[in-house]
Amino acid sequence: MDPVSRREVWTLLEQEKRKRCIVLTTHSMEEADVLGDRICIMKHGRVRCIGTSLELKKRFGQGFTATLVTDPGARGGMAAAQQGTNGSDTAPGASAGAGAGAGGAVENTRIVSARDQRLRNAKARALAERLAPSARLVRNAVASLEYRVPNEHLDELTALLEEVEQNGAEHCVTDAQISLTTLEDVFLSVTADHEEPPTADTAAGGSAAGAGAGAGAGAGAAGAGADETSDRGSPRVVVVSPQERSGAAGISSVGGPLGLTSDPNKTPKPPTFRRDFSVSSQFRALTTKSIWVQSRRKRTMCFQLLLPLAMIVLLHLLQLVVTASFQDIQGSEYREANPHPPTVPASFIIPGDNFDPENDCPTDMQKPVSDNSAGVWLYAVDDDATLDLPLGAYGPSVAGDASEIWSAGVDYSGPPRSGLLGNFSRDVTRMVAAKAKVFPRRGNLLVICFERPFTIPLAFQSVASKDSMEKILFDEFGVRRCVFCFFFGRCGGAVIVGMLTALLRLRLRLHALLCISHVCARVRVCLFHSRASSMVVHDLDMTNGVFNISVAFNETLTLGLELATTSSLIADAVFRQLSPTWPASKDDEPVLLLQGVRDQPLARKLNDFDLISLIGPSICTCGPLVCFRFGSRRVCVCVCVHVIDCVPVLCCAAVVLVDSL
Amino acid sequence: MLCHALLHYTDIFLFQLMFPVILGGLVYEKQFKLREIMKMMGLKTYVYWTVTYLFSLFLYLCATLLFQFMAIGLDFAFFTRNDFGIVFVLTFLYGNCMIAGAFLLSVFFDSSRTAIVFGCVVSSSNDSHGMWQA
Repeated sequence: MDPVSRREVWTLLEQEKRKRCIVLTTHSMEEADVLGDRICIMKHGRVRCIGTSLELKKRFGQGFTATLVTDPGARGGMAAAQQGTNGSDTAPGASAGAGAGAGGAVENTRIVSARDQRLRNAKARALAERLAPSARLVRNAVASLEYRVPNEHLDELTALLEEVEQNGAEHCVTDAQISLTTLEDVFLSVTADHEEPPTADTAAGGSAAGAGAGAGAGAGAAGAGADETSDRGSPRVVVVSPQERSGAAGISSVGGPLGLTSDPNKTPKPPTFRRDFSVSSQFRALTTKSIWVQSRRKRTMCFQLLLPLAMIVLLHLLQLVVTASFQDIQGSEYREANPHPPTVPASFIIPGDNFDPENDCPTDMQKPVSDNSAGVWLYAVDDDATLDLPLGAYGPSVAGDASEIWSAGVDYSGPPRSGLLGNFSRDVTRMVAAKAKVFPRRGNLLVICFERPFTIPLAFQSVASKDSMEKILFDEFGVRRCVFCFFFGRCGGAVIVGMLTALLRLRLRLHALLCISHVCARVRVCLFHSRASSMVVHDLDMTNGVFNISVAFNETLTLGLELATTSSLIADAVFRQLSPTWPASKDDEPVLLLQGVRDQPLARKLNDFDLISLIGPSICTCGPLVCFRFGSRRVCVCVCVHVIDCVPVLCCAAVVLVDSL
Repeated sequence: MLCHALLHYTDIFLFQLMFPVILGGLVYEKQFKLREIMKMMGLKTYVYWTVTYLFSLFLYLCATLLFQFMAIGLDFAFFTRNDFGIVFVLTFLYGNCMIAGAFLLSVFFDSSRTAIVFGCVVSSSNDSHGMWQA
């Protein structure tokens, strides 16, 4: 490279080396000297020394170079300048005298003869040899003498310089310069005494030595990795010679001004450059590396930290807007149509095959409710009630008394029913869905009422009533909180957590998601039938001998479809999972009441959605779910928790295994 | 309502943002032989994996905790009405699985760019955890 562009590259490197670690290999000693913060000299693929420029020069350099100038022209200039300064104190006079002196020097130079110059040199040499006997004459030029003064004889140099300063003219010395030895000298002295021919393996590495300039400037830890850790903060020259690998202790044993004693008879050992690679230092180094790498990835940091926060803020704002608009519409509409909301929730009854409204319907649901404005299928089941079922697109609207509707709405002579509720439940849920579309906020909650208590066959086969079940739970198992979870398909996230908390008896305040509740009157049941449309059964209310299962749907955007499918699914599932053998007889066949709850959505607060019912399964199904049969039941066991714990370990082991193969 | 659906598609995505990052970092070190260099310098393999795992977990926990506190501050019912501990345990377990999954997947990639793209697709398609299911 030409000097200009080389200088540019140097400047660039100087800028870039802050907070970085750059490994630069070069053959130019000048470059290494300028750029390198730590310089490492290698020869035959072996590190000879490492250290800062000054350290290397001090250790391996040949002291100082003193140049004595014996040129009388220079003396003349000096003398003239001296006179000018002495002669007049004013600045113009001084500069004028200096100018005159310089002119005289040029003139004098021409007339100095070679013989005269030799005499002057001899005088200067005599002075130098007298005052600095250990100095070595390295160059004897026409008008200058160059001496090497070893480090240990610096006092001689001082004396020489003082003498020159005071009465240099007597000794024909007009000027004196001192300089440190260059890196070139260091390089030569370090490598010169290993001139044995390179062996086959080292020849491949190249016999030319390179100087690596490690510029761990600034914080210095950047990317230095394991290399830097062992001796970071204690910069010292590490000398590795074939004869002796000398650390800090070995420096004193290395004698001579060259820093390295050489013994050419000895054959070089294999590379013995070694650091202290303890495990703890590796841990520290890698962690430091990770931190630095991470701190440089600004975009990644934003991606990881800021994006979730921005997302949740966005959702919060969205929630505010949406909730406000919905509440306004519904609230005004609801208040307008319903100044005195009834306390008893209205019901819609899906009858069984032998449905008899008089006997089969709960008495508290037989009250006529005239409130149609609440949005969802509000109908009283009464002998005298006039029903109006606007099925809309799903079928012809039905009006009449109860018995007419049942026969009109249901085609009992149709294909065989697939589930317990069969086609009829689907019709009803479709209708519910149609309604729910109109009033989405209210449509997302559905209560399925079962007419009589269930026997939960998991562990309480013989339990028939709420009280005895509660008692058994408390007495036998000592649980105050209880989890009942049922697997549908690939679900199970909440099951794991729920079981975990129940088993560990963590007294945690869990609300909707984790399906944990007091046993007393309510047991929360969690039902997921798929990840796409997960839902949570909020309450399984066993009061009054009626199971009330309220279902919260999360997929409200696709509410119509979801409601139709999920409600039939849940009905089937509840019946099958809770009691596959029940009903045992025709008489025991359950009556399913689909009950629209009107006041509950209004009671919901801001942000009151079941995020966990969404997150729960997503999070936990990432671990392999092991569920196995216990008797006739699929049982969720806390083994699942252990399995989840095992996954990372197993994966790590697999990765390490694959990697090491 | 809208937020329900939005959250359904964003929730796990939020927790999965680290996935492509971890995967990309691992593959990057493999792609440019940085891992090999470190090994040549004497790094032990188990040290590498341990530190990478723990550091990723640390980052993940930082992000998650920040997220949780933010959500609590904004009064999201999921975070306020559920116990902090149980949510934390959930996300912690999930993070473990995710990092381990990234470790496993990093074996199959040679280009970090491909790995990152794959990680993004996987984490946004919401089906990445399907592979962990039994």
